[in-house]
Amino acid sequence: MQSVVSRLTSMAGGRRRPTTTPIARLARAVGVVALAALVAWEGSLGRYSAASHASVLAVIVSVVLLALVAGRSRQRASSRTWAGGIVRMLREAAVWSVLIAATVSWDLASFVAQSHSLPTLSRILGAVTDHDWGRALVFAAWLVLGLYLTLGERRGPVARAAGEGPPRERPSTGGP
Amino acid sequence: MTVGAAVWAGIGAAWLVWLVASRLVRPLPGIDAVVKAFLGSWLGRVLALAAWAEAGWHLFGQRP
Repeated sequence: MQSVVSRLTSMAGGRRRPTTTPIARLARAVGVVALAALVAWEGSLGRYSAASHASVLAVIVSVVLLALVAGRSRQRASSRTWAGGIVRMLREAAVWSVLIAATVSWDLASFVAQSHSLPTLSRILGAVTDHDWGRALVFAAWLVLGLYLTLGERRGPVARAAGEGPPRERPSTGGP
Repeated sequence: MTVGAAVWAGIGAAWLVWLVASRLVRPLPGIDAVVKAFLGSWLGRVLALAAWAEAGWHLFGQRP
C-alpha cells in the first residue's frame, strides 16, 4: 500500500519525487498506517450505522478539501477549454462512452424496475460488501480511487517553475 | 440465471474484452486515458469526484 501512496504522491507533483527527510518518511508511514486502520475499521461497520455514515462523509469532505488545497493553481486546463473539447474526447473514446452509458442506463433501468430478476449494480456489489473483508476491500479501492481523482494529473510545481512538463492550455486558477 | 444477471454478465464481458483490446492495440485509448481526460480541468475533476462520492455514499451507507 505504501507504493500506492508513493505513486499518488508523485502524481500530485506530476513526477516522482524522492523522499528526502526522515520526518517526511515518518509522516508517510503514519499516513499509510492510518489509512490501513481506517480501511480495517470501516470493514467492521454495518451499512446503516451512524459511524459508517459519519466516516464515509468525513472521507468525502476530506478528499474534496484536499482537492481544493492540493490543486490550487495546478490544473492543466481551464474548465471552459475542457468543456469545449469534451465532445471530441467522447468521440475518440467512443467504445468507452458506449460501455459507460450502457452500464449507467441498465443500472438505472434495474433500479426503476425494482425487481428481483433485475438486480442493480450496487446490489451485486452489496453481495461482496455484506462481508467484513469485502467491505474493507471495496472501501480501500474506493479510497485509492478518490485519492487519485484528487491528486492525479496535476501540473507539478517543479515542472511549472522550470517551464517544463506536458503542453498545457490556459491554466485555471484557484478553485473550480 | 435471471435476465438482469445475464445482461450484467454481458456488460461485464464487454468491459473485459475492451480493457484487454485497448491494452493490446496501442492506438486504442484505455480507460485510464478517459479518466485522465476528466482530470484535465476543475470541471471534469469535480464531475468525477461527485460520481465517486455518490457511489461511495450509496455503496457504504445505503441499502444496495
